[in-house]
Amino acid sequence: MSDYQGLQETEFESRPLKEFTEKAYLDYSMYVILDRALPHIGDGLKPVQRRIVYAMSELGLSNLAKYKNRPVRSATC
Amino acid sequence: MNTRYDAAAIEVLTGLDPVRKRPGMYTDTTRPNHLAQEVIDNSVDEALAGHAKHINVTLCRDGSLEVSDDGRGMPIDVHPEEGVPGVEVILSRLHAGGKFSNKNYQFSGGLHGVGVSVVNALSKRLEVRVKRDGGEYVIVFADGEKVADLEQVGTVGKRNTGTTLRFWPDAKYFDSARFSVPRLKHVLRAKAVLCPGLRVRFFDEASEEDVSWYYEDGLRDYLTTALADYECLPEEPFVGRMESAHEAAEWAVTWLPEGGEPIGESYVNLIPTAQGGTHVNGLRTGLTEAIREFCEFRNLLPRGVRLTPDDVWERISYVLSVKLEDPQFSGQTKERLSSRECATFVSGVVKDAFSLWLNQHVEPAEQIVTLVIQSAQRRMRTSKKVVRKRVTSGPALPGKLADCSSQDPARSELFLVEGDSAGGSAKQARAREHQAVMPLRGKILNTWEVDPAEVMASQEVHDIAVALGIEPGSEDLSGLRYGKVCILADADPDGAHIATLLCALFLRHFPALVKAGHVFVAMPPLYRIDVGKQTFYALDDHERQGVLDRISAEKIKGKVSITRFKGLGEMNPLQLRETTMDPDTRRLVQLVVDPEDDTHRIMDMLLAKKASRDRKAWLESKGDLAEVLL
Repeated sequence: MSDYQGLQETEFESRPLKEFTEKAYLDYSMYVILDRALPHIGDGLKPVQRRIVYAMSELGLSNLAKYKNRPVRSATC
Repeated sequence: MNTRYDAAAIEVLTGLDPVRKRPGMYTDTTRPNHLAQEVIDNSVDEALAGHAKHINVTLCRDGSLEVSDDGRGMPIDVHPEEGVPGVEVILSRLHAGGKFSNKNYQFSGGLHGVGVSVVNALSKRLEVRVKRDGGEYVIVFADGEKVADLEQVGTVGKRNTGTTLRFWPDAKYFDSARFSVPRLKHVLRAKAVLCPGLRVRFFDEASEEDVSWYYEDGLRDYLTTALADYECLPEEPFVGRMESAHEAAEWAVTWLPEGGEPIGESYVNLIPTAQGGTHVNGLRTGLTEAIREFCEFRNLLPRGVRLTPDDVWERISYVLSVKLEDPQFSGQTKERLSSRECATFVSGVVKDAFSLWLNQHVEPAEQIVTLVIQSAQRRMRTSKKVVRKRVTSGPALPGKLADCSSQDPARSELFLVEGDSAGGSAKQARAREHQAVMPLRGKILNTWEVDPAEVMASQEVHDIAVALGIEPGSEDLSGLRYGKVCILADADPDGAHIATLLCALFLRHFPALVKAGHVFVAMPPLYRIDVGKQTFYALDDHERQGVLDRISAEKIKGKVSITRFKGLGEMNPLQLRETTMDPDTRRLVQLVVDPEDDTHRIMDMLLAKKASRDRKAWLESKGDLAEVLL
């Protein structure tokens, strides 16, 4: 068993779970707030919505287009 | 109780009070040796910077210690902000020092700047004589307070410079107020070894013992004299050194095939690091990689034998000295180095140098390899005895799990991988023998507030529990099928979220698993660095800098290009193995909980339904600390 302890000593480092989780969750939350959930002050669109509008314009689906049920989803990136 | 708790009751410790109040936070209080070390380190820093050639240490009959050097002398001019001479600032203010910027000392040990003022705080009396700019000056302190202003007492030649510091440690702060002479000598000798060309003299007035050390050829001499009684392989240790703009490493390594008392010493800026740290890990990895490569070239490995760093490390003796510009240590006693970039630098330069050496000295090299293979075979024989429990009854293993073939729970690992595509790469990248992979589709349920009886209703959680072989909420780990459970998620915001949710699941429903230290996070690299035909990986910005330093130190030619990985999906299986899954090259972080700490409170704040107010406050106070992930 002493062998295994020696391994523990050097093969990996340890970190408190609370510290890791808090950091990970903070990064996630701030990302969501800044880049996902808030509409842009300029046009009121969220990034997801803007991507859809952009994809539709690339496909030529303007308000004048005849059929709008083209596969927009697969063209959205 | 009549004590009033108002503003007046709040103590603010000023000057050196914090040290006297809690000496244990600043120094080792068993004996005053650590104080001596602080003073000696100051003189050695002068030597490191190339200003001092001699250090004399005298242990006086009255229990005081005098350290003198011929460096530049502590500054005596008036400090622009504090309005008192520089030497007084150094001795009477915590966190004062000339070592925060790299201007005056490129590499130095006393980084925290608390060092010598701590000595002052814990001494009955302390005298400093400075020879500088043609004058000799004296300042005296008692119990940390100045008793005599800095005063010129004589004149000396312009070239005659240096600092002499004598202190009388105060017995009330120490278990024993006597210096341990053997320890002191050991420290001094190590300094002489690590700083070739420096003459160190020690004189003990009581026993009239007078020793001096001077090593022209540093580490090699030291290691061979220390191991003179044992058979060494190779007889002449493998030595090397490498310097870059920000780091320098120097080492001497040998193996003791017949056993004996091994030497394993490591230093950072001449400070001993008794508990090793990243530089020692780097040495270990570097040596292992070189030996592995050598075996591969020459087909020396018997079938089925794989070398691990421990096999290489088993009978090793080494002295390693690293110099860093900005070393990070755990704690003021500086016993473990934690600068990450150092591991990359040391392992890189050691590997290249040792590879070269092995191929130039084939005969001793083959003997070393034989020794290492023997250790590996011994290890494999002992580990084969434990057998993992097969799942014979109960629910069948989930279909998504790609299990490993080994039955040994101590060695096997389960990777929980974000997304099916990365899961596919991980399946190809794993070492089939002891690594199992289970892909998770999307985000798992937030189980922080789910009843243990209901948690199995979630398919993903059910799969994880069955794969692990333990019941949610159970304290019984006997059915555990893997020694390590590794969370492997992208280095992006959603990856961070998945890792959080998994941590919550383990902490709430498999607490025994976390307590026993079975939960890990794999750290995929963020950067890939290509130079010519070589490729390096870096886990974070610090490490990227370490790699770049190494490239410039070794003068590797070619254009350097750096790419940033956005997720696991961008890596092919080979890269994934090399960087995140292979036990020798990956970075794995064990997640630990202290039963006493506030882990549960923090998790509650992060994940509970009712805690949204707390979360808002938390985001408002800490939001700026978030790193922007792509």
